[in-house]
Amino acid sequence: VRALSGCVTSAETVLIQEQSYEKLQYQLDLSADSRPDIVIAMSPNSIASLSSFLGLPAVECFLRVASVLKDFGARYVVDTFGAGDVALVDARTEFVRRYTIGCR
Amino acid sequence: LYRYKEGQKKKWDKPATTTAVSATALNTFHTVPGGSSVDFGGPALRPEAITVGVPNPHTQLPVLSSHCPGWVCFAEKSQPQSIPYISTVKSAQQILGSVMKQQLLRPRPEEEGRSVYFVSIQPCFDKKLEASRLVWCCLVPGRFCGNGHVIFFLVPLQDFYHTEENSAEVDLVLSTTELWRLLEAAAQREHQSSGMEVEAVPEVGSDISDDLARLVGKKAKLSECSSPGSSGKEVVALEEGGEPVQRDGSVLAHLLSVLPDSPSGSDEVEALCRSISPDGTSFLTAAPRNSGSGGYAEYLFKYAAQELYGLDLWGCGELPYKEGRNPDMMELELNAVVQALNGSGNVEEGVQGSVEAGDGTRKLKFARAYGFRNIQSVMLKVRRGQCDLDFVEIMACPSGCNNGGGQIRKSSAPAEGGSEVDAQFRETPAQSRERVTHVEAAFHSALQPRRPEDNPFVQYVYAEERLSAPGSDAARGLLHTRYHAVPKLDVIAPLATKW
Repeated sequence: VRALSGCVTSAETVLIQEQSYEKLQYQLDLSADSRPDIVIAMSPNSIASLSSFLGLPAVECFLRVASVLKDFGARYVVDTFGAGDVALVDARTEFVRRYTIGCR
Repeated sequence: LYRYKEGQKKKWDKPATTTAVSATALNTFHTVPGGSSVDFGGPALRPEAITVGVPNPHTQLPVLSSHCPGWVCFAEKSQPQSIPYISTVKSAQQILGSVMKQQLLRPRPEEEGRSVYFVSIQPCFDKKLEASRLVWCCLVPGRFCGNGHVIFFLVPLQDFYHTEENSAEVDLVLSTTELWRLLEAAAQREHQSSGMEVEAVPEVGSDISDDLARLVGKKAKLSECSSPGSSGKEVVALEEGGEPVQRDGSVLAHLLSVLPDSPSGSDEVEALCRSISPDGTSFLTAAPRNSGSGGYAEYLFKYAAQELYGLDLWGCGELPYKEGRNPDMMELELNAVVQALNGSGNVEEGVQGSVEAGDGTRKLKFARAYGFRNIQSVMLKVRRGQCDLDFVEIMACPSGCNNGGGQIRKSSAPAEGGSEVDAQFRETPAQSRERVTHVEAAFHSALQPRRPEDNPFVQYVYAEERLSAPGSDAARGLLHTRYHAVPKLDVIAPLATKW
């Protein structure tokens, strides 16, 4: 948190405030035919935080939250583990390439 | 002494007012073998001044991870010389956004007007910044002044933006606390529509009262686990005060009253993007240990050991890190790791002999550097050319992403009275350490290892007709990004300015 306050300038504060909870509420409140397909992706850390705060097992917590969000009008509720795996696969390729030709 | 000796004689070079450095556009770089010192000095806006001495971004070691937007933001602003070292792979959030919008849910021609709104729930407010990254990379001559000078304007361009679809990769990023507010609203709405108070819920059914008993048990656990002293008092105060815990309880009660979503989701797209194990008890990931911040160091070390030195570390569970100056600075070194694992007898037979234990030559040195103090010390070593690391997983927050600014804190989740920011800071360091330990424990108990190649989502993304292979041109287009030095505003003492 301290780190954050050090690197966020006022112009960026505006950018951050622009992405508010109300924006999602607005999209969810649109009527079903004018609403875009809302995809909500939960990061592993957010699932962990919720599950430890609520005392629920992580997967169960995720599935229950997914169910609530779908009641609200979300089309898909997914996790970012798969995308994290993709990031690791491309990062490992990049690393091995740089390590083998690398210089300091 | 230096300043005393030099006195006023030393003439300081004024730094260039703007330096645009891109990590993927190679043409802006002149490769200097072994050149790790960067000279951004010289007259402003002269092209040679910003290219000479900048190392080639595709060959530099150490590789610095790019997962943390707080660190990337910091590097672009105050450590431009570190940009060529940063991995160009996008973070998971941006990758999922681009795969969703460009491939999985790309509207077919007959589905005109259909659009996708991608929301990401993250532990960090800087992720919002990442989703709307502005890049000051375009200098446009504005107008000529009377005295022969030209005024330039910096035109912002968005990095993560698909021009053809005219939409951002990620439309909205919410922190975990903001998701919590949404859940609170859901619980509220439910109570209003059913006309029931929280207390009335137990009458509905026996399994719900069981759940309520669990909830009460959880409260008891909360007060048990908090150590005597201020934190203990706080939990008691919360329970006596009623309201905050009540609200927490209502969200939990609401969550427990709904039917959980099916683990495989509603259709194949959702199933593909969920990594839940077949038995429905855990999430599957490539780095089940030390993955609170993406698990880059942990997984890349295992992969590189296999790929470069033929050592299979996949089955050996958690790698034995060596603690550096503090718990947020952890190091891995191949010889030491092999020695430690051989000592514990954890590595399978046949793997042990591949690397001569302690053969003297240093192999594969990785580190996890969390928090700005550790980042600074790594950067100092890189700048001096004394850094012997090959990969550094860098995170701006101490303890990594599980300690992100947007995570739920015991005292902040029910943000009643006082602004949210006040609540964020109410936690003492000891309390936040305890909370992060709990979150990490919850996290790791629900993870199981799976090789990323076996992940259907990875197989889909790297299928022949899409990206074909990791590191291919198509992959570089979709999964990689670039970084730019953000010019600092010249802060000059007004009286010293010569007009």
